Amino acid sequence: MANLGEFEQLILFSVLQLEDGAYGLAIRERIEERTGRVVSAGAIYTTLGRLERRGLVSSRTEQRPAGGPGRPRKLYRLRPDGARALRDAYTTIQKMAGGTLSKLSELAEG
Amino acid sequence: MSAPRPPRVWSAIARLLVRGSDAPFILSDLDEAYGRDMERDGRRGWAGRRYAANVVGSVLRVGFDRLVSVFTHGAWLDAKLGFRMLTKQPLLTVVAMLALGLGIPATVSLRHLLDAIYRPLPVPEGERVVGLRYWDLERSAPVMSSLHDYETWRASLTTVAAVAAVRPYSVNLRSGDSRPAPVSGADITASGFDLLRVPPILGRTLDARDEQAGAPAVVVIGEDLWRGRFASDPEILGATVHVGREPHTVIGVMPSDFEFPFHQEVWRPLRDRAADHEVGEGPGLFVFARLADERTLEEADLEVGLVAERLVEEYPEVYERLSGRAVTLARAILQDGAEDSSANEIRVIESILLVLLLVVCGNVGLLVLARTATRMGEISVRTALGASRARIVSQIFTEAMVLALVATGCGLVAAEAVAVWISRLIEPFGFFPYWVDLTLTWETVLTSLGLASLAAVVAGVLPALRATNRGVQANLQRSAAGRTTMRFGAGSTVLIVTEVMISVGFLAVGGVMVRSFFQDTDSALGFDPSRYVASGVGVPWIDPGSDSDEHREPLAEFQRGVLDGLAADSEVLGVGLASTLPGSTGNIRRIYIETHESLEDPPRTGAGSYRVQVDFFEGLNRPILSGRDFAASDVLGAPVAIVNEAFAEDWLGGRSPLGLRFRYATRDDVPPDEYVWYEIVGVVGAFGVNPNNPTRSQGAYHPLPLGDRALDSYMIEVAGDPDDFVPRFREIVAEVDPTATVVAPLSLVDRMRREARAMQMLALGQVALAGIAFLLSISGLYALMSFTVMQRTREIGIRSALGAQASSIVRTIAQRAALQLAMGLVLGAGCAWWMLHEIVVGDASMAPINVPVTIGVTLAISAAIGVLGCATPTIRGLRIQPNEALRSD
Repeated sequence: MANLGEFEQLILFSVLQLEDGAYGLAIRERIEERTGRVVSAGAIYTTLGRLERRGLVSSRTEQRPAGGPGRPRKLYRLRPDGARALRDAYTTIQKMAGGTLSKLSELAEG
Repeated sequence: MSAPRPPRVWSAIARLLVRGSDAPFILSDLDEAYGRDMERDGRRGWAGRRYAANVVGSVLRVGFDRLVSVFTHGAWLDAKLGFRMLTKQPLLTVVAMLALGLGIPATVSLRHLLDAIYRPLPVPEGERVVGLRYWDLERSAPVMSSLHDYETWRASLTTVAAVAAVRPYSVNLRSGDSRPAPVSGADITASGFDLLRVPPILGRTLDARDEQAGAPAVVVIGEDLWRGRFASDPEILGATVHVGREPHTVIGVMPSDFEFPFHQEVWRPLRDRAADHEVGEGPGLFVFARLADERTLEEADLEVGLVAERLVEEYPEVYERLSGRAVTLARAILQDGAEDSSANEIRVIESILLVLLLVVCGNVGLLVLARTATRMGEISVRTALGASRARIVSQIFTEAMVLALVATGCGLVAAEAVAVWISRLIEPFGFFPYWVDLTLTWETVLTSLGLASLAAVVAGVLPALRATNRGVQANLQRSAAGRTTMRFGAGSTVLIVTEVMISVGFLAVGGVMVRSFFQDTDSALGFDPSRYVASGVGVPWIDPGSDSDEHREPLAEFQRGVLDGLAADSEVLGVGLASTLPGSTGNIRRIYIETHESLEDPPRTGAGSYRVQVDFFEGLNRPILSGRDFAASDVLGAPVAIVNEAFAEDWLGGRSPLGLRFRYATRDDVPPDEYVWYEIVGVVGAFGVNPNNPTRSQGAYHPLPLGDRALDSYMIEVAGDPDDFVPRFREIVAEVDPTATVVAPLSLVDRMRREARAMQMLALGQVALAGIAFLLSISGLYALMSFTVMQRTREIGIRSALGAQASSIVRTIAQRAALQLAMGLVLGAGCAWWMLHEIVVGDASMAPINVPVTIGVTLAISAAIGVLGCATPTIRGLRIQPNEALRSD
């Protein structure tokens, strides 16, 4: 089982959710929107690069029509290994967290 | 509408610093994100700040990622190559590992030791516990503090929160019916425990009530003692143990990591009062204090100095020469020198060690240079294929780094093992305070790694820069021609010649020391040591720091009791009491003899001087060969001496020495009318004077009365096995005084062997130093010659093909190395002559030597080692086949 860090999990979830529109800025905005965490573009791309080298995501450069608006984007997709790793990580957390959420809330609220 | 432009400066920074294959996408995202922020909010400032944060984050993240990637890819490959090189050239590896593995730990060892000693006391806020002491300005030495000092400091200092005093000693401990056994103890003020803030694991520590006169005798013991001697007895609190003569009630047990101040196991309240002693008199104490809140050591030092100045006015005769100081606790406990001068000395020693390490690194650099020379072809091709000079240098540096790191690792592991071994060896002697732990620390490991990097720079980068200082074309051309582009410079010659010189010097001295301290000395003793027990005896009621005579009478009574007890034992054939026992190297002093012909002959060097009890010779059944034995009146009247036969025969040509006088050399400023002349009253046979050197076995004995504290060594002749008599000796001493401790009781043979062992280690150390210096010089010669063979392979091949004589080829290969070896040997002869005269000739404990012969033998051995070291590359050169040489490269 591939070990995934917390930030890697966030990125993989974003890639999964964004489907065909998963590129750096979209992922960054998704993370910021859902978690409130502000991360740099550099952090997104270096992490995606690492995940790609591990075979968890694949990438392709979006071909834009010549003379069309915008610059080329690098789009990412979750690969089966990445999906398995993310599923395992999520399941593990769910198993561990099972039934403790209310207790956690109680404790957190003092 | 065109997209909004992000702040120019940040945009430029991003374009300049964000690199790598994903850089265009990152830059594009940065701009796009700025545009969206502007759309969302419309405020330039807010969007600009977010853009700047995004740029900084990206630059840092991408930069770090690239750094990690370069390191893990490029450096890892180089490191793998470096490891391969270690196994490919094992000779170079072994020599370099030995050199760096010894050099780097040796360089950090002093700092490691000092850090271990001077680290803060391992108690809460230990760095605020300081020592208070007086410094004798005339003798430039610290003096022990007195009870008056302690009470004055306690009453007057405001910069410290609490003051305490401790007096360590050795004492016998007995519980129940067990035999008394010596333990390290201390009398300590109750304030000491409060100040140190270490709670007991059982019971309580001392408090002010325990210090009162007439209070019940109590004792706090250490955890190790409780767990060992008392088998973790749960009823230990309230139990009675005898500390010395007196029964004491155990009131507390301190944790095992508290052994203040040395390796104490027993603490009793210090009940002495200053009022019972004159100012400056009484037992010697270590005084320590805890700094008051927000006060510094410097402030305390100033205040202690002011108090001392006040005391000079009140008691000039005691305090005139003394200066009061507050110092770090370790400095006070170890009675260490003044801070400033020590710090300077340490800096000088560390600088010397660092220079020596650099010499060693230079040597390893020679080897790396020679190895690099063999790879010039490979380096040239790599350069031609696009490898930058930095890449090549980095590769050679990494290889040297691997070598240095492996050597440092091995060296540190070995050094730690030696340090732990030495700590265990010296722990019983209470040499270091209890907090000194010589095991490796992170600081030492990091310093060593720093030095390993320095070593890699000197031994790797410098040769690499030298090897790559020509253009690709020149390198390729020369490689193709079978030649290297490199040269061994004058620096290498200086290095090799100096090392040969030093190794010859050390070998000469080491050889003489080995001969002196490994010889069989029994035959030169004049008696059979296997029949004797030798032992020291200490009594805790004598204060070693005091000059007072008040213990003279009780000590005489004690010594008489032990001598009588021994004489009454049927096992004992003879007994004597002396300051230094026969068989040991005595106090060797230069003397002048007053002869009939002239008042003073030229000085005679090296008479062993022994101080013995009046009945020493009679007690040990040593006959007086002529003249008379000491009489009780001799200790009161004119100074007298009994000399041995060697003294009479060697220095007086066989004439009777009786009635002649001699004196010991004194300082130059002592006027002749203050010379102390000793009249010779008798002659004894050989009795273990300086057995290492039969030509220096002249000795003189002087009588001391019982009660003199110098008489602390007993020599007992027994009928049976000396080892079997040791327990009986302990009993006899305990019967006379249960507080007395028997120190290192051994058979005389074992004692001599133990004393010799330290000198043997020193001798082997000298030889080891010579060996290392030789190894380095030989490695330099080897590198030089291998390099020559490699450089001239084609030439040698052609000359062989043309029928050149082997001698001519040998000359080609070995000429320069032979010249360097010869220069080193010539200078080494001078070095050996100087070292022999400085270290050996003046030292009577060394075996007699003939200096020219010793130097000749040393040179012959050195030359043989040098030639052997050069043999391999020479043979390699002679085996060069013409056809192979022409095909090479």
